[in-house]
Amino acid sequence: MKDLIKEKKLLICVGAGGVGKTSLSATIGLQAAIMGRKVLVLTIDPAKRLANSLGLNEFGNEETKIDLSATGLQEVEGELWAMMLDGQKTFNELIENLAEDEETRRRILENNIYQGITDTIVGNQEYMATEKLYDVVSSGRYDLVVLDTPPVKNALDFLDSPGRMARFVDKRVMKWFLTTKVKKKGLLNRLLNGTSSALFRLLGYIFGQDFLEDIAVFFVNFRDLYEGFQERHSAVEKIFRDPETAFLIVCAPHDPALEVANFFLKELKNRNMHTPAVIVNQCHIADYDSPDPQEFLAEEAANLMQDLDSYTDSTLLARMKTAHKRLRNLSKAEDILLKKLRTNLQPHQSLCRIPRFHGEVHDIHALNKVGMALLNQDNVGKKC
Amino acid sequence: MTIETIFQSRLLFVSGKGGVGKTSFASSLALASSDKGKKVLLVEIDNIHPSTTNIFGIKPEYNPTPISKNLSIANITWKEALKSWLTETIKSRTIVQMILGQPIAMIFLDATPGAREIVILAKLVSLLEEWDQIIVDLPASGHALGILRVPKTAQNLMKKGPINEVSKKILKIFSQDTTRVVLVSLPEEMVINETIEFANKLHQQVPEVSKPIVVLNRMSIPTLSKDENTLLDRLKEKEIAPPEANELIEAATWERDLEQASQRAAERLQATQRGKLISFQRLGILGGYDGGPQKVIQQMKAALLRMAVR
Repeated sequence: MKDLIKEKKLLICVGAGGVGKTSLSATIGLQAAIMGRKVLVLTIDPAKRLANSLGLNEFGNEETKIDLSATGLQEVEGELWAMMLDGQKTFNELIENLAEDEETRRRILENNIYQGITDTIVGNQEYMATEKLYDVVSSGRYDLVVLDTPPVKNALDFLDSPGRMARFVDKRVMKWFLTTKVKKKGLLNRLLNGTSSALFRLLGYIFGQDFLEDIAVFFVNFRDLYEGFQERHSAVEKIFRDPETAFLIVCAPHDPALEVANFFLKELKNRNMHTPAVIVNQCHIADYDSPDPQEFLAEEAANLMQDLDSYTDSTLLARMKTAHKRLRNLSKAEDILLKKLRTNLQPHQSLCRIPRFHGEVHDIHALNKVGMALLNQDNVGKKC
Repeated sequence: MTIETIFQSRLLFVSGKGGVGKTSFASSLALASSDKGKKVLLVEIDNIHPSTTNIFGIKPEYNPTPISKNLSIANITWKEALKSWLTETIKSRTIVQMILGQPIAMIFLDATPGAREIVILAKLVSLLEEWDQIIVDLPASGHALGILRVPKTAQNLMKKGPINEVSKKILKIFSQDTTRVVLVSLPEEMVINETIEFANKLHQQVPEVSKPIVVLNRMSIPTLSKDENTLLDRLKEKEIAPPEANELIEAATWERDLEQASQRAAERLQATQRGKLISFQRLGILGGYDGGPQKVIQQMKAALLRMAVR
């Protein structure tokens, strides 16, 4: 892990929802900054308290430098930047960058279809994440970018998202719409003379003529942007495959999360994307078989009783015994799951185990604690 | 009462953050409801790996598959839904075949914002004629909101024609009292934040739908007394040396964390609800339950039936 954080230029955390991807991305970012790198954590809608602890009160689309001076951590040489993704803003910025002039820009932003796309495609944060990724990685402003990907039901969505926009402005569809050189007026009439006029008329019936008219106008305006989208699409794919990029699969030790992890292992391998590690977060660790509370704690407990109801010590110790039994069982069950996961790894892939911490991870100190566990795998009992 | 509202709903959408137990809740409710004599259809939407497969041992298809006398499961895939909708709308097999046979038309229909969702929702609405209750196991929050928002978007985009009409019809069903949204949540801060945010967004963006009903899953009931709590804190402060002692203290702290988190969760979520908050007790500690999905479903189903009796 240390080498990855020290050397890579882009680390992409993928995995199921609720396994702590956002916290881990922030953890990795913080450790990289401690190592002296300038790093940006690109995150999507994290819990507000994590955002606040990173100094992000505004939910904007801005890259914000996190002030680490007041944290009391050792002198941090690098810089930690963070940014929260806003789908709508990212898309508007993209259009502004790609559109040639003010007029084109305005026509696109005001188009009905554009607003429809904003609702459906932009709602897809996977797509927006890759768009922003392209900007920040190609800007060269950072030594390392850590991308926290959105949780996905269909894990493929993220990997395939660069193609999504390209799909809507599909060349074949556009060509079909714009077969003849079009004038703005009477566009549909011109089109209806084309070979597929019957089909066109049908779609007109289904969607309404106005809609097709909107689409046609949209395509006319969008045609010039098409190349730009295609270029970005291939550029992002290239970034995904770059040797300085690594995917980190994040999961938790339970079946649904591991299922997603295994799925990513397979898919990333099929796509030749570098996946050096699987991080199993939120592990419960109990190494001892039924330790007797009487033996280890009775004396201490009795000494601390003072003002408390009598028998409190014995009832608490009894509860502890039961609680430990459950924790131990859980720890064993998780070990079995991890062993199974290990059999799916290739020799060069490592498995990192991070214990579950009390409370939620939402300040720099908690992040640093997770960071220590990540870097120093011996501390948590098992080797990485 | 809230539980009655759920049982009496005709179209019930179930969503929530990933991994909270959406499918478990939807399936156990389907079982409970069909036990009460309702003809129930449990539906997934265009899911490549249908989650209900693990529970019922059968992979749901587009056409409903019976699981028991009153319960069937299905996976509404968009291509089949499109075909069915086109056939109903155009009423000419030849023309429908022509559209479906044109790659360009399919790309267009696939890529047009909202077209997929509209035909799927239209299918759900038409299925309501045959079933007493349809329970929809939606994808996680973000995607689910996207789906529910589509009829409104489509109405704005397509001012005339069959899509406009079917969107109107779907919105009318949405606004009925028997259409409900259930959000499954967990006693974890991030999950609760997302639950509350989803509820607010849904209310803003699809005001036709009634306020969502929240269900708190994997909840722990407080067991530690005040004095036991104090003693545990004192022991923690002591920093006792043997690792076994630490593990024991750690174990008790975990249970206490869960109990406290559950209390906080219940309070925050209750504030968003009109009726009493529906909750399910945790099976085993810390989510570690090896009963398998079928057993979880049976337990949840029993809990639902008990709630309904009360």
